[in-house]
Amino acid sequence: MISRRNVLRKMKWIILAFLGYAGYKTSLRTMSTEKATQYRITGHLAEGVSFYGPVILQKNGRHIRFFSSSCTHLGCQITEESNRKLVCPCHGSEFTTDGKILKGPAGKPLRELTFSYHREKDEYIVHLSS
Amino acid sequence: MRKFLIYTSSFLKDSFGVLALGSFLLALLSGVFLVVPYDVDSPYESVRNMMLVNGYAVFFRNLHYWSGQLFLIFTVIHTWDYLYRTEKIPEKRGVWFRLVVSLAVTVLVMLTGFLLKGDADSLQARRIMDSLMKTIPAGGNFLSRFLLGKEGSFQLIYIHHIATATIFLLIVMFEHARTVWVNTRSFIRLTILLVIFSLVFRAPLHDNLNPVVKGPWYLIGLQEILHLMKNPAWSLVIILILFVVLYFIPYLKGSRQINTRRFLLLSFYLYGIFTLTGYFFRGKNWQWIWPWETGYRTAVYFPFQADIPAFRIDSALLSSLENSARQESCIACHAGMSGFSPSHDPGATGCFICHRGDPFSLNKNRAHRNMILIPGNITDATLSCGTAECHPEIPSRVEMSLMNTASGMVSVNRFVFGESASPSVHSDIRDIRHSPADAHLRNLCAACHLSNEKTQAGPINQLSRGGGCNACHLNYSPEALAELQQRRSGQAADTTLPQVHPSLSVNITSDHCFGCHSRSGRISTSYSGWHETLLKPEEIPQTGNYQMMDDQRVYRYIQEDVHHTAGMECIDCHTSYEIMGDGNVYLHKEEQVKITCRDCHFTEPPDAIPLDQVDRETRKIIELRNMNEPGRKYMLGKESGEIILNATLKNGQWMLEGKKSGTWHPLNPPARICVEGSSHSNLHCSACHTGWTPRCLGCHNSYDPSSPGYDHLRNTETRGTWAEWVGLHLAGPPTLGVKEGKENNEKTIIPATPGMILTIDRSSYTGKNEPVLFRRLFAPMEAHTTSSEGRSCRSCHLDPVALGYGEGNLEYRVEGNTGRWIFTPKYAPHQNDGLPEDAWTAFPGNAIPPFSTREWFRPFSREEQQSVLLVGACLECHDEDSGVMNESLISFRKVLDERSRSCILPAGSF
Ligand code: FES
Repeated sequence: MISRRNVLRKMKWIILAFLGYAGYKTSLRTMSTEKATQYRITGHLAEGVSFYGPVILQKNGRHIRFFSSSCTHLGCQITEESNRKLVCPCHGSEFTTDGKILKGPAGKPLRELTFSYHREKDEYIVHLSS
Repeated sequence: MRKFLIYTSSFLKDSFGVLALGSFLLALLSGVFLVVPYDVDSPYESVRNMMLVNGYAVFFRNLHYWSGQLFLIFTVIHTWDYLYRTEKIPEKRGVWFRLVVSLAVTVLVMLTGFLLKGDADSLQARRIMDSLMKTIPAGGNFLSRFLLGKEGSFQLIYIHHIATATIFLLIVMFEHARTVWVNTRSFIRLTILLVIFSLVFRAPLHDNLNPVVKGPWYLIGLQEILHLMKNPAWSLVIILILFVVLYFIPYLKGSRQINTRRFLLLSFYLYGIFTLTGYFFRGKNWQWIWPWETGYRTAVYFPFQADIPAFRIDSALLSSLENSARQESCIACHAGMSGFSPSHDPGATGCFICHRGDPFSLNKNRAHRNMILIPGNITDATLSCGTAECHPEIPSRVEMSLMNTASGMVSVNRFVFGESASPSVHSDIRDIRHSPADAHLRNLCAACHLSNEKTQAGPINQLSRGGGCNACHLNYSPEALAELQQRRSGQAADTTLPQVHPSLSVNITSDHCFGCHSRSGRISTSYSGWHETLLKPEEIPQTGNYQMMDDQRVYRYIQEDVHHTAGMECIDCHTSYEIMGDGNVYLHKEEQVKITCRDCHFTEPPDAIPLDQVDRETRKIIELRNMNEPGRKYMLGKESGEIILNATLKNGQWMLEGKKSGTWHPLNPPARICVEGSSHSNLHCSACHTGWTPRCLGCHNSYDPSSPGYDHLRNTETRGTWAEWVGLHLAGPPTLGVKEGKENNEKTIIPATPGMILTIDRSSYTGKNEPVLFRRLFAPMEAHTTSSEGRSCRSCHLDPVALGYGEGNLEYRVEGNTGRWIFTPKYAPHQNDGLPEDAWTAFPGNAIPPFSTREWFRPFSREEQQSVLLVGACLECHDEDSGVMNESLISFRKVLDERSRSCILPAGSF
């Protein structure tokens, strides 16, 4: 039965749905460029393990590897090496200095990141989204 | 529980619903006052500054925080109460649904508040939230973006905290309670309670240095649960289920409802257990820690602290804070201290980073609570010198290093006491117990390890033992020392603020090493030429070169090490990786020490590397020592391959620069005799170049149960002690022994010293009937008494001490066509093994094991003794500089084959 009340109720939902959809779209537009995709390190890289915010560097002579410092469990930043292990402060996952899992809860090794080196500027560009 | 709740609500004279609303209103009100001092662009800095200079803002922040927490608590209790109420007025389904949702929004409003602090806890929590939301299959990403916004920006979180969530809650509350106001009396009571609370307890803020991070207290249980979850998305499912269950409870009937409520209650208790676990028993790196374990107070980070806000706006402090790299309350009183090394200047590092305490409090007692007065002890090194921002890689290395574990000392001692079958096992002095050997160590030796805490201010001196990082890095300037003495003598009032700080630097003098290294092997004293005597201070002879050290021991001058003569200090040879460890576990010191004589005394030029190939630590030291002039290269030890940062090629000559003195020393190549021919190729440099070694004989050890003693490990006095009675302290050219290599039957001749010719009366300790133990163990020794002149041929080939027979007269007697060696020992045969007191091996013969403190070290075998003495026989007639003897260095076989008739060699086995 089509009563005025019913129509109004339906209208209410339609309007809400429309607003929700438009809001969703609006947020997508304004939020697409929110994440940094590169991290730059200039100058001398130290031997061993170093922490640069989102990036963990592992340098062994000529061998250079970059890992994401974001724990693969829930994304906490790993900031310290202790007894040759990288331990996540949030829930205690442990990784080797080259990112392999030693202990959970994390289920995946640390993400290795690709990088490029720009000789003129003596700069390493680490690709965070790689 | 219910009784308690009823009691609480009757105390506050209102229902929990109303109290929740009241707390919410207070949070809202106090929040308004925070809008100005809080800066969403630099959240942490603004909160920290509030805490340091604006006592009023601190009060409102506390009020905001505590009313928020009460709002959450009262809301939960109110919901619970509602579920239990039998005569409840059923809410309309829609309203009840919104109320259940509003519970989630309550957590959201709290959580956003937590995030807005922008401290280490918040940043990690934000990352977790982000990842958790992204595990939601559809819309997870959107939800994360919608709630958290741009990475690094707090704008959206702020909006949700002050607007979205708050407005939603207000609407739902109004719909539910038909009012947003509370009865005035309850409100006043609640306000008084919260104001008092806010005057005493501070809202938490992480100091951003403590490695422990914790979520808000109501989510610590979740943090603990997440620790158990490989797939954290399940936690969201569980939370969703709990909300769904909650939603349906009012519509369930009879026992179903009761059981579901029980289920919820059980979950609540379980969650409580998780929360307590996470809150009280998790230390750094998620390690489990009991409250009675050492270091608990610093290992577990408690966010809630009592601190009464200082109601003033301190603009003078504000401006000095603005000029300082670190914003901490310490500088409110301690600004202007001097004496620091540049790297530790508080202008750059602050005080808190080393000393801890409370960097946000302006109250003296509070600010000093949990302060580390003397930072750098091993137990708290990770919280002072070893924080993530300073030297994080070092404490774990030092922890494993021999100066900390004293592994060799413990293992050899147990081996000597017959408590271990081998001296080559890993031990740690901190784990020793109370066996006879361990008690012996506690009474006599256990002070010498880095974990021995430095508990009093003052410079490192001859009597210092241990002290963690300070053991090597602490230096007092004359001004700092004068101030300390004033304080000690009571001339300075307790309230006088210290003005001069001792410095921490890489200026490590040989005096730092002296305390420990002048004991046992005594390399510190030997290096400077001093040999310990058994004289008492009052017995020091008028003539001769004697001196008394600070511990009243009397030393006689013998001969200093040639490197000491050149002005070299311990650190001129030894690297940071040898001293602080390189992260590997070593059993004995000769394994941890990498530098060798041949690293610097070479014939073929070594390699060198530029600064950018040097590891971080060495580079840092190079820079601190200003040894980084452009183009300088750093020598790699010719034998060890280690970077010897103070050695380089300078004007075509390999040179070593004194790390402190700046003096340049040429790296001389070894003498011709050292490298020519193969007859001495298995001699280590030290076999010839050790000027002398200290030698102790006839030592007896027994336990005296009635004498007062000292447990050096625990630093407590004891009743009963082990004591050592020494027979003789001698000094002279060393005995030589054979180091057996692991590969290819490789043998090296190195110096030995009679480390343990002793008897041990175990029964005096155990009370059991045990025979007295006798040991004749020699130890390999780098005596640090290098002389540039090597030993003469005669001093080895004709010296009974070098050969291991001990002092005495070694004579080559020729009768007719045969020669014979005859040895008349100086000391009488020992009752236990029939050998002279100072011998290592029988003349002539093989020694009976155990003969050494290392498994790879032994005296010369009978055949080897014969070979040495064969040359000795030649030296009876031929001068050591003669052509024949020189030729014998190239090929002894050839010289023997061509010998004249008049040469009489020793017959058979002598
Ligand atoms: S985020 Fe690293 S263990 Fe959970």
